[in-house]
Amino acid sequence: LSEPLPPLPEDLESLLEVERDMREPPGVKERVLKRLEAKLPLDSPSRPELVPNRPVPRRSRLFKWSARFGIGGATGIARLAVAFASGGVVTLGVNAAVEHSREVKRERQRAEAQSHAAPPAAAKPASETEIPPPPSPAVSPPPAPDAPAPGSAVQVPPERHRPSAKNHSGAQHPVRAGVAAEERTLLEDARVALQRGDITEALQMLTAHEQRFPTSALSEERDALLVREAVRAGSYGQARAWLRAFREHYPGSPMLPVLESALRDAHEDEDKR
Amino acid sequence: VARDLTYRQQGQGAAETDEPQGAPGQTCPAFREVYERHFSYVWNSLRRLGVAAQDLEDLVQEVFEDVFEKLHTSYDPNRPIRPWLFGVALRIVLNNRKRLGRRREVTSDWSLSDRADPVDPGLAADLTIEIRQKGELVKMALESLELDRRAVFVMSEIAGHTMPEIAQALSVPLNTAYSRLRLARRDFEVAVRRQPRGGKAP
Repeated sequence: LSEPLPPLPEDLESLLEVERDMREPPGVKERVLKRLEAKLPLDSPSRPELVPNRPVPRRSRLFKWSARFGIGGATGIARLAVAFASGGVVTLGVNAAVEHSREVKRERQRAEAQSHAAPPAAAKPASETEIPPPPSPAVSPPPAPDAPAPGSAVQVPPERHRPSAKNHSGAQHPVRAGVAAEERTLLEDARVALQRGDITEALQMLTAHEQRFPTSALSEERDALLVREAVRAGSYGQARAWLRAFREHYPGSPMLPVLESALRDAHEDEDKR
Repeated sequence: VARDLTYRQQGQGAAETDEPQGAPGQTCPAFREVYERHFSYVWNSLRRLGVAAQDLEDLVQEVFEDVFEKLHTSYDPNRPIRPWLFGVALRIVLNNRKRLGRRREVTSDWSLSDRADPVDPGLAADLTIEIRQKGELVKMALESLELDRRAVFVMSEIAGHTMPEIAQALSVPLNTAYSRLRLARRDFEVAVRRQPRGGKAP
């Protein structure tokens, strides 16, 4: 069946020769390119050259996740060995400790950001048109989690990632708008990489986002992406852990049912297989 | 023609234009480069697959959107890109047909006014007419082919791809591709012989 076919008769060949010389009408190429440029980010920063259908390098992924949870290197191996030996109890403890330290770090960074955002009162020019700052709240700002509770005062739980009222009123400051655009770009890139199946790149983007914007208003979206990423990578244990954390932090999130069903579907698919 | 045919049947390269062949270790080309080099190929492939003239521009755009999404994930840079592009174009055509409810393309869709004019304006009028008649005849004969045979025929006889490339691009076994080509050739020849010639032999 696979033997080469004889050439076509000469008259048919001459017919096809005309067809081979056909070109598109002038101007179409430029027109379609303009439409594509309007729709797609053709000039976005070049992505890493990927080998097609490249499997996600397990070592790299493992390294990144271990780095994320602070269990990389020899210490991490030792911790994991101990965790294995003690049936996972130590793992939970270590994870909780790491989570706690990250929480403390985030709170500290948020406090720093707030102190940077509010300029000292003495430096302010006395302007009549300037709106006076709102009175300071009666309740003192939430203490750091590791600090002792001040007396019998009611402790206000720290609110996570609450968007400030400034973001909703009036035009954004240009610098802040640029930062927001950068933040959105990072998340968008992560989402695109995830859709493409490039887990490593998606994780890089999300890690970069977390390092750069630890107390961002978009952190809910970032954490949701992380869960989806773990599901996509087939790391269901990790996905469950992240989903649990997500549920705790954002109990009323509209993304919660979507993530739960994604994890459930992935499980069912795996069971079928 | 004979030399060209021998060249193509030996699988030495694409006859329609000088497409660089994929070599081991090559990296993925940039999207703009692909667009610049292969726009005409995609345009003509869609036209030869029976896309109506009024839909051509939209479908070319769809093909390149798909290419933009998949260039770095599903294209193997060690292989020539045109068969892969043809595969993408064929999928878009199939989807479009489903969308339109499998309506048969009417003859006027590929009218001479819609086509690029390959004829040098300096040529004599009778030569111009002859070339146009030939183009019209090819179009009618292609329309008589079933889409799967038509795809193999266009890839092999017009675009000049080798059979292994065609089989891979269309995701069919090599023997199936050969079988489709045989049947398509027969149908094409029958269709051409059946057409009234309009005074001049092709």
